[in-house]
Amino acid sequence: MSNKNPAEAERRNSTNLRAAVEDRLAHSPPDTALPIRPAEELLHILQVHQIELEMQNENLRQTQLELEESRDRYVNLYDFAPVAYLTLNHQGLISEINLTGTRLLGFERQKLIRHRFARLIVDDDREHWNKCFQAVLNDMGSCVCEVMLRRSDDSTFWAQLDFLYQKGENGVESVRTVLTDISVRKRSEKLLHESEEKYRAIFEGTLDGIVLVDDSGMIVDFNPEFVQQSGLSPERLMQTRIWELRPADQSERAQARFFSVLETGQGGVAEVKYRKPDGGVINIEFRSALIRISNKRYMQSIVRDITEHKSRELELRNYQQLLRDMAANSSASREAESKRIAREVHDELGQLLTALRMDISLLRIEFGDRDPLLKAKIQDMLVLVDKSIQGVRDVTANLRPAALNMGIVPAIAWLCDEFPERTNTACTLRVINDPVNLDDARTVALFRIVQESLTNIARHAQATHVEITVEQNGDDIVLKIHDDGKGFDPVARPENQSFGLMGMRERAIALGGEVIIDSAPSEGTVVSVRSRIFHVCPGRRADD
Amino acid sequence: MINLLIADDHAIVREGIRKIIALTVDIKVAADAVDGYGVLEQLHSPAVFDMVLLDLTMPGAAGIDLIGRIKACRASLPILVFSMHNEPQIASRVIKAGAAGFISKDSDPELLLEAIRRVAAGGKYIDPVLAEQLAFDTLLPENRAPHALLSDREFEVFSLLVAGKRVNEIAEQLIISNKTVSTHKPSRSAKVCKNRQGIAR
Repeated sequence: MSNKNPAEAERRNSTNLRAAVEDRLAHSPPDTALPIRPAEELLHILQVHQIELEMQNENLRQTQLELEESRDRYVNLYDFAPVAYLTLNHQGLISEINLTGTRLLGFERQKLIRHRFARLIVDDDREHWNKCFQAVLNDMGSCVCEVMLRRSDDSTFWAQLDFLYQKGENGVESVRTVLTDISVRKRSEKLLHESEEKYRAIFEGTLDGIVLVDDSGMIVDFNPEFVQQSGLSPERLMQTRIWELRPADQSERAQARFFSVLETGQGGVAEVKYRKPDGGVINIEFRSALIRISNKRYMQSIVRDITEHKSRELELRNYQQLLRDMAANSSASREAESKRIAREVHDELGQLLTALRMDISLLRIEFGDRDPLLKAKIQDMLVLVDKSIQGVRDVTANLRPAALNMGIVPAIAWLCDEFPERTNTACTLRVINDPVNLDDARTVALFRIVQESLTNIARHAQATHVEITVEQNGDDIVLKIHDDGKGFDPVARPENQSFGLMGMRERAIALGGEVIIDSAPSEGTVVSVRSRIFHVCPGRRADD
Repeated sequence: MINLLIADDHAIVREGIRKIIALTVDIKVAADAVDGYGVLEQLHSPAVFDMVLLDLTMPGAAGIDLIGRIKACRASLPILVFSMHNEPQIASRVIKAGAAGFISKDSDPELLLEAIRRVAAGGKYIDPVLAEQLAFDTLLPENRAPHALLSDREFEVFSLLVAGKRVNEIAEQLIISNKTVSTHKPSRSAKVCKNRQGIAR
């Protein structure tokens, strides 16, 4: 198809043509009927013919040029088309292939022409190719198949082959083939497939139920766990609206809730009781969220059976309450025991010592003046008795200070007076208003909390001053124990490590109150105690 | 002659008191009671007595409650509390409740007699040891934190002054006139700034 020198070709053509014409003229019989014309006329006719022929010749040459140009254009289009074209003969040999095709495969054209196309196909796909190709030949139709091809450098790629059967005028069969590199599509298809598979596996395999509901409330997808939880068949579920799973009296609320999630986009957690069709009741936790798939709204819910969790929680709470009651009970009986022992020691032993002291004093008054030795002896005895009485007082104060019988303010005042003697820390009491009508249990509990706070201050705070405020605030009594000591970081030192702090909290909880500890390193500590004031009947007031 | 009602649940103590009283000529035991109800009964009996020598812890009505009941029944009857306790807080409450005196049981007989005579004469008596403690612990200003001496209103004004508030702002916040604020200010100055000058502007 190359055309290197058109002028030379034309000259050769015209020389050949002239020889052929002269040959034909020599063999044709002379035309006898031709009239004799003068030489001038003949010359004119010949000149006209010559010009006519030259014009025709020019036209022909023009047409030939155009044809060649068009053919070149076609060749360009064919060779440089963005997809690979090739033509296969009926035996599957490559008869034509464009440049794009050769580049795609990495072979030179002459290494492909008259070779089997099948050798480019990886072994596994050859069978598939064969079927496709034979089908095209048999049906004289078209077919698309996807196979993996091997390049000259042994690398492989996915190709789509579009076959079109052709039968030339000469009866030669051929198959026009468009070859497209579909590796990228294949790769993303593979990724998509893997992703789909992965999410399916998560969806199907998760231990929570998952249900997808469209914007009309219809259940559109769910996993096996949800089927298990609902107790309904998958077919039945697909025809159910989500709120129809709830008992009739709750379905309206569930429906409202569903549409609220849909409208506001605000999902949430709900705990509901669900009665299965078999009659069993389970506690479930419903976590709902609004999601969009292809711009359509769905409510997706994770459903968890928390029946066991619930019952364990309840058990734990009961157990905690039991422990708390036990602790409160043990603390109350310890208080009662202390009170009893204190009273007994104070009353029995104390009164005996008192009477003894009176008798000794009377001895001193009646006989002391008679004998200085006796007087000195009596004085010694009085010192001993006084020591014993002080011993009794110390024991009873440790068990239960008598001031506690006078109410919370005298009791705290007593603590305040005692404190500096043991610790060298000043302690002041500020009574904003004196809470009256505080029952004995509360008085004792609050007193013990303050006492424990002071013990903590003495042990850890290195404070120079403690201020205790007492205030009745409505129906509450509020105590604040504020020290200017070194403080601590409540986060860094969790209080459950200290039985003292825990005991204070438990006492407050038993009163229906609370203890708040506010502290920071080198900022001192404020312990705030709040409790309801229990109103006792006025006749039994223990206070003024 | 002082006629005495002795109220104590311990016979041995009552006996001791009798022996001490027997040393005198101006005092005599007119009646005794072994519990709170006994005391209240005596108040309604024809027995004549001028004062009550009262133990604080007895069966039945006792302590502050009993003092209140006695005073409610016979307001003019002097009560001298004679107790094992020696806590100033208790003495203070007892006096507040209406008793005329407080003496601890481990006092010498002479002191007890003196107390009886003082109270019977309409006076007040507090055990000297306790009186001293009471005075030093709570009455003398030097022993208390300066701000504990402020009244509640003064304390509020003081806190706001320390926070840097001006008199008019404080008046607005506490809904009182600025004159009132100023009245609380000098008294604050007298009590607090005596020790720590210039704590507030």
